[in-house]
Formats: sequence, C-alpha cells, structure tokens
Amino acid sequence: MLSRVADSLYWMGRYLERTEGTARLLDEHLTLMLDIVPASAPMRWRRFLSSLCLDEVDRPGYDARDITREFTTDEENSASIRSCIAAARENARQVRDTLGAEMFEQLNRAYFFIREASFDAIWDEGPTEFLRRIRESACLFHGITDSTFSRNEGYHFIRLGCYIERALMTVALIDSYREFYSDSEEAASPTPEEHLDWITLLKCCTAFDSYRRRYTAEVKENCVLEFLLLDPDFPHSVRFCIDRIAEGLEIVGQNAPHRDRTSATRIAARLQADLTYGSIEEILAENFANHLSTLRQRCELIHEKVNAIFIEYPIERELARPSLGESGEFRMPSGDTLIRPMA
Amino acid sequence: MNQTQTQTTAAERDETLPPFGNYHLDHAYDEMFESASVPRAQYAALHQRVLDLSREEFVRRQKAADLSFLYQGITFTVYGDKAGTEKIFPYDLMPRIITGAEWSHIERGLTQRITALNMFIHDVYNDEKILKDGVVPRELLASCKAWRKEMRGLKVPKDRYIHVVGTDLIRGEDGGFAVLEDNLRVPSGVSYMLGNRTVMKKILPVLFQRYSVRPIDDYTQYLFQTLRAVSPRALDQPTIVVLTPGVHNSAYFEHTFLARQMGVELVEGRDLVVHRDHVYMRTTAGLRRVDVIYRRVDDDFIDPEVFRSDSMLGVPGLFRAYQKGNVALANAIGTGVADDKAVYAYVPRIIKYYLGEDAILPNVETFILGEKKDREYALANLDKLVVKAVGESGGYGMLIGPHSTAAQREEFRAAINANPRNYIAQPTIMLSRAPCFVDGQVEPRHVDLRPYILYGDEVKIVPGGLTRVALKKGSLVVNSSQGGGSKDTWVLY
Repeated sequence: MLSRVADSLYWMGRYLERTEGTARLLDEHLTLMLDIVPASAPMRWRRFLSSLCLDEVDRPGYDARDITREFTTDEENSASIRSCIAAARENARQVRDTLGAEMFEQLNRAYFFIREASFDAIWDEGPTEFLRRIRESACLFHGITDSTFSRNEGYHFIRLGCYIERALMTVALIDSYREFYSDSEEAASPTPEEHLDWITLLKCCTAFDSYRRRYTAEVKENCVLEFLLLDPDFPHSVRFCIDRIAEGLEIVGQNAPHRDRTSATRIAARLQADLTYGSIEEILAENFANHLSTLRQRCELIHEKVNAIFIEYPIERELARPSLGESGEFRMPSGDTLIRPMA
Repeated sequence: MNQTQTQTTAAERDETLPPFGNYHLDHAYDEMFESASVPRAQYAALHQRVLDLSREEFVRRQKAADLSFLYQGITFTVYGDKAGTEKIFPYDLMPRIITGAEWSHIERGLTQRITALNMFIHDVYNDEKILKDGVVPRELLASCKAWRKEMRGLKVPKDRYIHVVGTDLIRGEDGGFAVLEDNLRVPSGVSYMLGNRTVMKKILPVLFQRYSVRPIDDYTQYLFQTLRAVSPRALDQPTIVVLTPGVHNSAYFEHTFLARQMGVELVEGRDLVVHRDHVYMRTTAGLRRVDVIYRRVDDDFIDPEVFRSDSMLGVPGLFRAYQKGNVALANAIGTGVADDKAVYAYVPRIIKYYLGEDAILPNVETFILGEKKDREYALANLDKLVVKAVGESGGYGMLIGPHSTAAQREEFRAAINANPRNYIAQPTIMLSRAPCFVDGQVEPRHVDLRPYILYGDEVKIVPGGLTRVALKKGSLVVNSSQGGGSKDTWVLY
C-alpha cells in the first residue's frame, strides 16, 4: 500500500488507543479521588499527569474539574481526548478510501459527539457517563474494524499503531506508580489507600477482573506487576502487546524483502523473549526504573524502525537498485502470493 | 442544516397552509406543473405523495437525510464561507423527473457534441484543419490560456482526449433543453449524484417504487472501463490511480469515493515519482509502476517542471512520461481549449464541420465580446445580460445583469474594455424551476442539469446526472462551490 496511507493508518491506531486509555485513566482517577484523603489528591494527580508522559506535572490547586476539562474538551491541549479523537479522525480522513464506510462513519460520530459536547454539562452530570461513551466509541470502532475490515496490510498497520501505543502507555503508567511508591517502605501487604491505588492501576488497564481470576482478591505488588508486564493472555499486558507487535511486523515485513526488514522483527523478537522468559522477581531485584526505561526505549525503537522501513525510506536508495525498470516490478500480495526478492 | 431561505416570519407562515400553497408559477418553465395545481403526468405520483405525507413527516425525513449525509461525511468546501472547511452538501428531497423520451433526445445530443469536441481537440493539437479552413478563428486559440503548446503533436491513446465530461444543460421557457457550458477539464459532482440516489432510496422508498427509475449505479464501473481502455501497457490489470490535490480540495470527498468504488489507489502528487520517464508510486513494498492516472489536478499544477513551478500538488517529470507514452492521463492535458467560454459559441459550427450535422442540442445565445459588434451590444445592455469571464468556473467572475448594482456593472465595463477577449455575454436565461421542500412548504427553485459523459471505447452516459438547485429564493447561481444544492434526477423508462 502507499507509504503515506500506511503512516496515516498507523497514527490513527495510536491516537485511538491514546483516546481510550486517557478516558479510562481519567475516569478511574476521578473515582479514586472520592475514596482517598483529600490531602493526598495532589500527589495522585501528579501521578496521573506523569503517566501520560507529560513533562509539566504541576497544576495550580490540582483541581479535579480543571484537570478534567484539560483532558476532555480542551482544544488547546494536544493530549486531551478531544485532540486525540480529532487527530485520529484527521488521519482517517486522509485515507478515507482505505477505510470501510462504516469505520469512518463511526469515527465521525465520535468526533462530532465530543466537538458538540459542553464541558459544563459534562461536569454537572458527572463525567463518568461521558468518559464511558468515549471508551465505547473507541471500542465500537474496533468492533466494526474487526468485523468488516479485511486482514490486509492496512489492518496490520492500524493494529501496530494500537499495540505500540498501548505498550508505551502501560509502561508509562507502571513507571508513574513505581515513582510514586519508590519512597515508601516495603510492606507485607498494602495499606488501605495503597490497596486502592493498586486496584486503580489494574482498572486503568482493564485488568481488575482478570487479575482476580488469576491471582485471587489479594492485591500484591509483585503479582500486579507480573500480570501487567508478563502475562501472555491478558490484552493490556506489555507482553501481550509485544507478541501482537511481533506478529504484525512479520506480516507487513513480508512486503519489504529488499530492505532490512529483519531489523524491526529482531528488536521485537528479543523483547518478546525477555518478556516470555523473564520473571518478576528477577526484574524487581534489579533496577526497576532502568528496566522500565529500557522497555520504553525498545518500544520506541520499534516505532522508528517501522517508519524507516515502510514509510520514510529514501527514494535514492530505491532507485539505485539495478533491478528497477520494466523488469523490476513488485507485485502486491494478493491472497497467498508473497513477494519474493528480486534476483 | 436546514434550507429555510424564505423571508416569511412565523406569524405570516400559515401552519395550515397546504404543501403547495406557496407554489407560484411565473414565466420560467416549471418542471412539475403544466398549469396552476395541474402536475405534469410524470409528476402526478410525486404530487400525490406530497399531499399524503404530513409536513412533520417531510421534515422528519429531511432531517434523516441530513444526518445520513453528515455521518457519511459527504461534505463540500465553500470558498469564502466563514463556517470553515466542511459543510454538509446541501440537498433537496424532491426528485427531479425526466421522461424517457426527453432523455433520449438529450443522450443523442450529448453523444454528438462530445464526439465532435474530441475531434476538435485532436485537430487543434495536430493538423489544425478547422483553423486553416477559418471555421474557428486562430486568434481565439492563440489567446486561450488553456491551450497548451506542449500538447502539439503529442500522441494520446486512441486519440481520446476527453474521457470524463460534465455538460451543463438548462431548460428554457419553451421547455427545450440547451447547453449552457461544457466542462472538459476536471468536472466534479458525480459522487453527489450517486450519494443522492442512495439517500433517496432510503428516505423515500415508497415513492421510488411507484416510479420506474433507470439505475445509475453502473457509473463507476463504466469509469473504470474507460480508464482501463487507455492504458499504455496492454495488461489484464493495468495500474490505475486517482490523483487528488488532497484533503483540502473542495471535491476531495468525490476523489476518495470514486477511488474506493473503483477499487483503485487514491494518490497525491507526493506519492508519485518519475524515474527514467516512467511513473511509479511509493508503497510499503517499494516503487510500483503506474499506467493510467485519473487526474483531478488542473493542468497548471500537474507538473512543476513544465507548468507552474510553484505547484506542490503535481509530479515533477510527469509530462515527460506522458510524452513518451509511458502513462495515460484522463482527461488529457490541454482539453480546456474546447470548454473555453469563447470557443463555446462556435461549438454548433464545430459539430457541423466534423460530423456534417446540425447540433441536436442547441447552445444558449452567446455574444463574443472579443468581436466588436457583440461587445458594443453587450456594453449597451449590461443590465440585461449575464457576463462571464472565460476560463473561470464555479460561478465566479460572473455578472448577473438584472441583479447587479451600477457599481458592479461599471467594474465589469472596465474589465471588458481592458480585456474583451476574456468575456462572453448571454441573455439571462430563465432557468426552469423544480419543486423543493423549503421550511415546511413546497416551493419552486431554479435548476439546471449536469449529465456525466464517459468516452472510452464508446460514449456512455449514465441516465440523469446531477440536478443542481439554486437554493436561495430567486437566485440563479446553482454552483455548489457558491452554496447551491442538488437533487436526485430520475430518468424514467
């Protein structure tokens, strides 16, 4: 497919994931604020802001209403839900012809919904319903895609975008909690407020129910981290994301035989191996901060490789190949026809 | 979006007024009524349906149609409108109905016209016989901005220059159809024609069933076949692309729509690259050769190496590949020479010259202001004429005499005297009027008709076309880029 189109689909995927994740993060933190000591609210809002990878985590008064506005309907904030949906939709608009009509329609609905929304009305009714609808919009889009979109190259670029963003968001979220608790003492079991925090972390990753099925209701730090980093079956675990990323790279990589297609799959595969064979005890015994930081870097490197291989490759390198011209045709894969390297 | 364009206040508007209570005939040809309250035979069923449905019901259906367009993203850019980049394409629920006999006549006339125009274009870029025989003055072409010297002697596949044509027809006071202008460069609007039909079938299914309407769904299939027919490589599956200027273009929706319906790639200039006089597109798998480009980019912007060097929308080197015959362009470069408004006046003579026939569809009377007698007449009668700048499209650069101010007329007088060859004038044609649903009532509005003609191996015209409506009461400007709207056109068997 056109490089430009692959790029737009990839970013659409990333922005959609970001939208859903931000909505969930905000919703869970607003709920959390109702149960904790008000004096500790500022710290937790800082943690929230840090988990969204923002440099600037200071806010006057840490007012819940202001922060909610900033991350829902604020047009000026490029990290707001509104901005993310707008960016997803703009990317989709650029490649409308690639998406099914129903897919674009759904994204359009979500966009108009938030564009017409009044923040005052949202806040007065209680933002939970609004945030639920946002998540629902994103899920509906994925459902329609799953149901109507052929499993072609475009589909895999969307998924790559989603899973790379999800992996990055999950790592950033865990990192913000690590930072938050780095100063606290080791406790055999968490205090009531800490308990709530860990539950919130799980809920931000849609993990609470699945965690309990796997580990019982006892919320232990080691188990939570193991679940979110290493679980092979849970869709929001970093391991799961990397597994899907590796699969995706294998599939789209078939189309790039002449370029260093293995460089991306190699990074993903090694990451996959670390997450498959690592243990949480080993990870926590070492420098956890470094570990998370490295994890993040490796995910970002995968993103860069995808860009360099499929999107922004220099024409000059392509034109220099002797096999171009009448005989140098690259056939697009149709069904089972794979592209083979030219002689 | 609503269409309330009437001047009546709530107090004046009688809630119990019957649907056609505000429908007043004048000397314009009325599409629906042959006399007061007497609908023409082909409109009888529509007339009855309107009377049967309550006003609330109509309003509800209009809203449903609006939402359908909105959610599908069928929008249009109106230049100069503060509301921003996107507006829902204005649309009226009442179909415009054309009988089978009326359509046959139109079809024959258009086929004849397009055949002759294609021959004309070929001639002026090759042997120039029509110029040598003095049928069309050479100076006319020499001063035509759209005539491209680079096209002289350039061989195009099957000598076909105009593959996609939109010809605007109007219906005069006598009920006869005449050609208002041809659009041979980058005509648009076909996606609205197709979109209208889809929505109509959903919103007024009962009415649709009562009539036998000829289908139009085949358009994109015919378009695809037309494009395939001109591929330089004789492949089973040549690579066809639609070249768009991008999302900010007013017709972008249409570009994506057509590409998707045909199952071909939609590309922008930056996706294409020319190497050794062949055209390639940049894909995730490397560079892929392109055979046919359905280009929706104007000549001026299509190749910065040859035409405007500041263009960011084109492909450097494209013309080189074109010259070598390595890529086909639909429509060809330089077709604007035949839809120039000054050349328009000569089209009946062009038809006679190449086909030996009288024009089946007449032109509207046209004064060529480059010619002294015509110019003197026009300047003396500016308040009665419509003056058009040659080469502008979309209803811009136009003076509508009867609706103009003295200041506007003076502006045009000066412009005409400065560059007379750039203007033509026509008497104000009273465009025919068709019923529109306006603020709970049915009222007449001026319409024209743009059928879409495809010319690949043969001429193919999809029945009907886009009926464009001047939604503002009394307005004669139907162009979508200036706030006009459209209707579904039903050609009956």
